[in-house]
This record gives sequence, structure tokens and C-alpha cells, in this order.
Amino acid sequence: MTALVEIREVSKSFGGFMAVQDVSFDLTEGEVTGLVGSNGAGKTTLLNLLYGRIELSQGRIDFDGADISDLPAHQRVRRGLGMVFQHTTVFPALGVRENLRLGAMRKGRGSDASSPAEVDAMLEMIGLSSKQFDSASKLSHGEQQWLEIGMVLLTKPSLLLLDEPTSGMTRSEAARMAELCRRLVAERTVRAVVVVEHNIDFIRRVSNRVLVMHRGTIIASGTIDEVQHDQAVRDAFLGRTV
Amino acid sequence: MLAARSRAASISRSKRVRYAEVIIGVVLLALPFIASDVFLIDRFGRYFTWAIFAISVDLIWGFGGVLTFGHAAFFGASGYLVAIFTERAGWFLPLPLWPAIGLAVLCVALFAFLLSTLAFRGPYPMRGVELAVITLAVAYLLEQYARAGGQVTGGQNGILFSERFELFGLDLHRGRGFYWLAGIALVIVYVLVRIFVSRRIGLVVRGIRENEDRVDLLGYDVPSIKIEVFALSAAMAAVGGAFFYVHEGIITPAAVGVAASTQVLLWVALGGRGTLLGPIVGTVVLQHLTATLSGTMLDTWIFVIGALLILVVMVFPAGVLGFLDRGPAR
Amino acid sequence: MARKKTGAKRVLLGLVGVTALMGGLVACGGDDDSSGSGGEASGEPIKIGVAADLTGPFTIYGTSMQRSAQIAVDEINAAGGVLGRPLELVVEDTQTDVAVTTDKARKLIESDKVPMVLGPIGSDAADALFKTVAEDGKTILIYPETYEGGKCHPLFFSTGAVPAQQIRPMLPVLQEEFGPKVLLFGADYVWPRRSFEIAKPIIEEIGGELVGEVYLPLVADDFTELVIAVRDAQPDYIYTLYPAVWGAALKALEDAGVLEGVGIGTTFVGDPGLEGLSAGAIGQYTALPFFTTAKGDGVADFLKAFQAKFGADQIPSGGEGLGSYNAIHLWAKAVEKAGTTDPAKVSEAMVGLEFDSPTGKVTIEPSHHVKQTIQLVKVGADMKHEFVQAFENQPSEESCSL
Repeated sequence: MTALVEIREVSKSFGGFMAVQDVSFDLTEGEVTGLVGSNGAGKTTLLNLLYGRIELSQGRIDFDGADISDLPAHQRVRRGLGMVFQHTTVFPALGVRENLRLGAMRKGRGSDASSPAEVDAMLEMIGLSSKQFDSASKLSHGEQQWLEIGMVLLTKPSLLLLDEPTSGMTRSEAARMAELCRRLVAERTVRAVVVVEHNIDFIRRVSNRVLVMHRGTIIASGTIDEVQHDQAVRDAFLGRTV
Repeated sequence: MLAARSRAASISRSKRVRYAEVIIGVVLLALPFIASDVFLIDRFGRYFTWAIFAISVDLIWGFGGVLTFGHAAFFGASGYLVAIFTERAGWFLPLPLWPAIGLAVLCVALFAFLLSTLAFRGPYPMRGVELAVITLAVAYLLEQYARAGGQVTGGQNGILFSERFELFGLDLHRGRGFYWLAGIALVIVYVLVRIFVSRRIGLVVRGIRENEDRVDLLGYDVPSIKIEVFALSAAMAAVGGAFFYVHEGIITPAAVGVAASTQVLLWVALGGRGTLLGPIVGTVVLQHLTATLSGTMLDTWIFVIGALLILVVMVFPAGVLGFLDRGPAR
Repeated sequence: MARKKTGAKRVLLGLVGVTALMGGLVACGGDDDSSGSGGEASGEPIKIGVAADLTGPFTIYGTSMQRSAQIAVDEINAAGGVLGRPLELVVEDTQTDVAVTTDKARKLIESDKVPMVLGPIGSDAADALFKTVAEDGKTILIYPETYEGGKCHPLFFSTGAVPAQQIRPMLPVLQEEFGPKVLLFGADYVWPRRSFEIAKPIIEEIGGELVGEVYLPLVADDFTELVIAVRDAQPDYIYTLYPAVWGAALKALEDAGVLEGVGIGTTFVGDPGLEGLSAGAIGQYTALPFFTTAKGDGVADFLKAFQAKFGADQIPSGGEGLGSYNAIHLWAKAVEKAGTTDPAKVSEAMVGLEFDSPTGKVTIEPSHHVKQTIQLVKVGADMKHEFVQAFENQPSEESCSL
């Protein structure tokens, strides 16, 4: 299978500090990739580089065969990137349904395609049908997470980036989230998913492949089991404190 | 069953707006027939032109979340342009009144378009406080230019208008005539803006107010949308300004200054940001109170108004008609 | 849920409150204000409108104007009023705002239906009021403030000073003391510009020599251009009309050291205007109709009446105070003479009228401006105005013919 995303020798430095150093990997269609590592390992920076919030210091990123390294975030989104943030970003004063509509209506994806039926279906999927006319600020944190996911999914992304999706979720909610991720990829709703997580259990359930980051570089890659037995990884953070 | 409860909780947003529109509409329609003092009616006409200005600020600030300290620059610049187009000679000037107003509004919109393009798309995209300060600077600079403008702007003393409002042979320049003219202009502006915000683009604009980054990251071209709204808002302000200053008969540098810009924020905030109707009510009530109290309470009116403002903010923090924007979203 | 109930209540409260408020305001909209004392006259009062800046940058002048008018009204009422009826002032605060001024003036004319409006202060407001009154055609406007002249209308009168009557007596004194070379410095708008146009032929007539003419924005913060001009032209004295921030300009000249031996003459610095001026102002001459150190038979009484009513430390300012006082008296006299308050008839009656103002005789010329006494003062070492000379019966030299 051809790679959906190719990341080549990507680096980012802030002042003198190398947050991400010489990172290369591919994201393949049909895969859920987990990105793990301790705080400060560079996961969030890598994600920010991917979706375009910050500029690369070095390297390149190809998406669907095209070089997107210089594209601003909203252009990347138009090409099919979808990003769900860790600190929930919904529209507090707007209604739940209005939040979703903003995702569904997005220009460039054919605004005619945003039918009320689509929105209804999404409300069902994220379990917020009964609250569709409530203001988003009234939802619990977990519900807002779901709302954000629903919003992003309505933009029909090819690549879905999730930053700590289970933070603030109960175990059953996290299980639902894992189920959703697998289904999205299995049903080809989304072509690939990248999940940044601390919740190793969730990673195990959801990902085909795991990348471990430490101090700005990828120190291991493989299935969760392979990675957990990797010596470098053990040295880095699973066994010992750094 | 759960959905039914959510629906029954209180009147939906759009219904509230309808009710409010009807009530306010009836009051304003009845006014010229109830009041016998022609001067008072004429005054309300002026309030309407200010209300148009307030709506323009509500559009960019209440709906768009973009705070501006210099919107009076558009209100006043329009007045100046109409004055220059109708009073000065040379090239294609002078113009008759209505084409002059049209051209002035167009020029102001163009200027706002260029300014906001620079602000939102330029090398240093501006937000929040930075943008507010830039608008302040623009207003200040325009005021300085007006003062120093010599032959063109009439300098310190400004320009006197000789044109009067006339349509189909009717004199609409004072009294009841002006009340209806300004009133109709207000209704048109209100309807246009109301349509704008209830369409899809309106939802996106409100989204930008709530969380600009998120809108950007859903793939919308946020700078484009902000520029569009800013230019539209400036055009509305220009309409209000044109009507106001022709009616006044004179325009002076203070018109485009900072003081006028900040006053309008008060009307909008007190009336209720993002409600369109709130700013209308806020403008009319505040201006009328100021006008009447500064005649009857010469020494204390300023304190009374101040106390009233504080009281209103305490009881209605979202503005007197702020409830129109809250509640279930339909 | 309790919260939602309060929400609905607020909705109702808000709407009802707003409607009631607006309805109430409409009903009480045409208000009526009077701040005069009845005095010994009786009968239906005659109302005079006063458009005064009681708030905003011109508060001092607007207040002075209103108070001086009040003193005049009190005197007239104590003496039996006008046509047996007491005078009453309807005062509106025009807030140093041209739009407000226009609005208030219209209110006075259309709502209160006054036969005469006194005011305003600023010349931009004066343009606006002049237009309003001229358009309206039913009310007399008396402008009590020093201004550039040039306004001409049957219903318009000026009791303030105009350039020629201030400049003609003052320049020879300056030339005598300092020398013939004069530099003109003014703010860039109509009042200074016109004043200087009038000054130029006068300078020639007295054998003076114009060595420079500088204009700066009304509120400038950089006076380099002025300093350089003074340094290069080396005038004997400067005639200045820079009313907003003269203190800053003066300081700049002082600091640059170009004021040594150079005299200064102004036509706008009244007693309140001395506040905040630096030591460079010592020796500065000003020609205006009134100062507290003015000479005249009635000055002491006028000041006494003013301070008795408004406080021991209160003074009427340089021009508009006396101008207002004179305006009221002149108008009252004209009404008596015409036997009616009808503006057209009063206007006719006003021409040629004389009045013994505190500083000397005031006569209304056919030009609708006044011939009056101009006081010349000099700033002493104590930073107060010292009386130098009073010039009586100075004609306005205005060319308005009606």
C-alpha cells in the first residue's frame, strides 16, 4: 500500500532547543498509529508540525503524494486532515447542533453535502441527540470531546489526528472511543488515524503500530508488544525514571 | 422524551427575536403618531442613524468578536466624503446627493476592505488588542487629517452641507419626514444584517467569535471571512454616517475621532451584543436619556447617566436584551 | 430549574422595562428647563436660550458665558424685566460637541420656541449654529465669543471681539516697544488665517515689516518649524493666535532660546489662559474685551456681582463672559424699543443701540458686530495680567451690509 503520509527528516528547533530531531516515518492507509512517549518527548510538537500549526525547521512532509510542508493549517485541513485537540475546542456559546453543522458545512467539501440527515446521524453516533439544542458550554468535558470528534468527522478527513482523546473520559467512554477509531479505519470512513496518548491500554486496543518518542526522536516502532519489549524503550521510560 | 424536555425548557432563540422585533417595531411605528413635538420626532430620526452605526458595530464585534475602537472613522469618513462630493467642485464634482451617498459608502467599504486585508492577512496578522489599537490609530489619524485638510476637509471648522433630503418631491430632511427616512433605512439595514447572520456564513462568523482557531482548523478561510464581515460592517456604518451628517448640516473633525468610536461600544454592550435589536434599543434609550437629562439636570446629568450605566451592567451583564442571544439554539 | 425561571422573568422584565422607559421618555421628551430668578417683574416670562458648553474641553468658557448671562438677567429682572415681564434663561449643555450643539439649538428653537439664542463658544459650533438659525429664520442668534468675523445675516449678531478691533490698537504698542519686524504664528484654520489677513495691511499702515508667517495644526506637539522660522527671521515681536496649546509652543520657543528680546502679542489669552504658561509669557500682551484687571466704571461692580453669586474665586473669562452680559442687555433694550420679541423687529431695533457696559460704551453697528472698548494687558512678573491701556469705541471694521 502506498503511504498516505511521508515524513522525512523532520526537525523543529525553538531557539537552540531541538524539540523534534530528524524524524522520519510513513503513515499507511488503513492503519491506526499510536504515538507515545513521556512529557516533553516531542509528541505534541510533532503533531503540531503535521497539521501545520508551526513551521518545520527542516525536512518535509508529503500528504497523498503532494508536499504540504509549506502549507498553512487550514489548507492542510482542506486536503483532508482532521485534528481533534487535547484541550477541547468546541464553540461554547453555540448549540450542539450548530457546532456539528460548522463541521458539516465546511466549504470546499461541497456545502450542499451538509444535509440535516448527516448531522442527525452524527448526533446519534456521538450520543448527543437529546442535547442537540443545548449550548455546548453545558456539556460535560467528555461530551465535549465527543462533540469535537463529531464535528471533525463531519468534515470527512482522510487523516485523523487525535491528541489525548481519552483524557477526561471514563473507562467505558474510552472503550467506545477505541471502538470508534477501529471502525473508522476498518470501514474506510477515514484512511488513517494518528493517536497521541498516555493511556497505554487504549493504545493497545486501537493501534496497529506504535511509535515511541523520546527527547525528540523516535526510538522504537512496531506493535505495542514489540515496543514494550524493546530495550531502548525500557531504558528510556517504561522501566526507569529518566 | 428527552428531546421534548430540551425543547420545552424555554422559548427558542428565534421565537424570542420575533417577539422582540414585533414589540420594538410597534413602538417605533406608533411614535410619530403619539408624540406631537416635531422636534422630538426629528431627534428620534437621528437616533435611528446612530442605531444603524450600532448595528454595524454589533456585526463585527457582537457577532464577529472583533473589537474595534475606531469604527467612528467609517461613520464620520462617510459624512466627510458625502460633504466633499456634494460641496466641492472639480473633475466630476459636485455630485447630486444620492449618488454621492452611494459613492461614499462604496469608498468607505473599499477602504475597510484594504485595511482589514492588511490587518488579517498581512505580514503581521492581528487579533484582539492589537487590532483594536490599530483601529484606534486609524481613527486618530483620520481626525488629524480632517483637521489639517485645509481646502479639502475644511480644516478645523469642517464643511457645511447645502443638500437636503428629498425624494419624489417630498422634503424628508426634518421632522416626520426624516423620521420615516431614517427609520426605513434602519429597517433595511437591520433586515440585511439579520439575513446575513442567519445564513450559513453567519454561523461561521459566530464560530470565529467563539473559537477562531477551531474554525480555521475545520478548513474555513478565516481571514477572508473576517475581511468580508469587516467591510460589510464598515459599509453599514457609512450608511448611518451619511444619513446622520447630511441631516446635521455640518461635519467637523471630531466626527471621525476616538470619542465617537468608544461611545458606540457602550450602546452595543448595554443593549446586548450579538442581538442586533439590543444595540438599537441601547442606542435610542441612551442617547435620548443623555439628551433629555443634559437639559434638565445641568450639573448632575453626567453622574446620573454613569450611575444608570453601572446599574444596568449589574442587573443585565449581557445587556438589556442579552437574553435574545442565549438559550436553546434553533 | 430555578435558573431558567429567572431567565424567563428577566426576558419579561427587560421587555416591559424597555417599553415603559421608551414610552416614558417620549411622553416627557419635550422638556423644559429654567434657571433664572423671577425678580420683581411679573407675568409670563420671556425665555432666552443659552447653548453653553458646560462639559467637555470648553467648560470654563461655557460656564462663564452662562453665569454672566445670568447676572445680566438678574439685573434686568430686578429693574422690572422687559416689557414688564421677567427674563428666563433656558440653558442647554452643548458638551463641546458640534453635533450636540446643533441638536440643542434646534431644541431651543423648535421645542422651547425661544426668540433668541445666546452662544456658542467654538467657531465650528458657531458655523453649525449659524446655519441652523439662518435656515430656521425665526430666531436671533447672538454669538458672544471672540471670532474671526465674516458672518453676515439679518438674525445674527456678534458681541465678541473681531480681529481688526483687537489688532489695530495692539500692534502699534508692540512696535513701539520692540521694533517693526513682526512674525505671524497661528493655528491652521479660519480664525487665525483671517486674523492675519486683516493684520497684514495694518502692519503696513503703521510702518511695520512682515518677516514671517507660520501655521501649525491646532494641536501640534512638534514646534520645530516655528522655532526655525523665528530663529531665521529674527522678528522684533510675534503676533500669535494659537488658542489650544499655546503653552507648549511658548515653552518650545523658550527652550530653543529664540525668545530673547522678542515681544509677544496675542488676541486670545484671557485670564484663565494664563494657567500653566511658562515664564516666557512674562511681558506678553493681549487685547481682549475683558480681564479682571480691566479698567472701566462698571468693572468692579460686575466682578462683585459675579463673585457674590458664584463664589469669591470665580471670574468671568476673557471674552465670552462680558460678551454674554452685553448681549443680554442689548437684546433686552432692543425688545423694549421694538415693543415685541418678534425677531425681525428686534433685529431692526438692535442696530445703532448703545449700552453702557462695565468697560465702556458698546454700540451695535449696521454690520451686526459691535463697537466696543478693547483692553490691552501685559503679563507681569507675578504671572498675572497687568492693565496697560483701554481703547474705547474700537470699530469692528466688518464689512457686512444688511
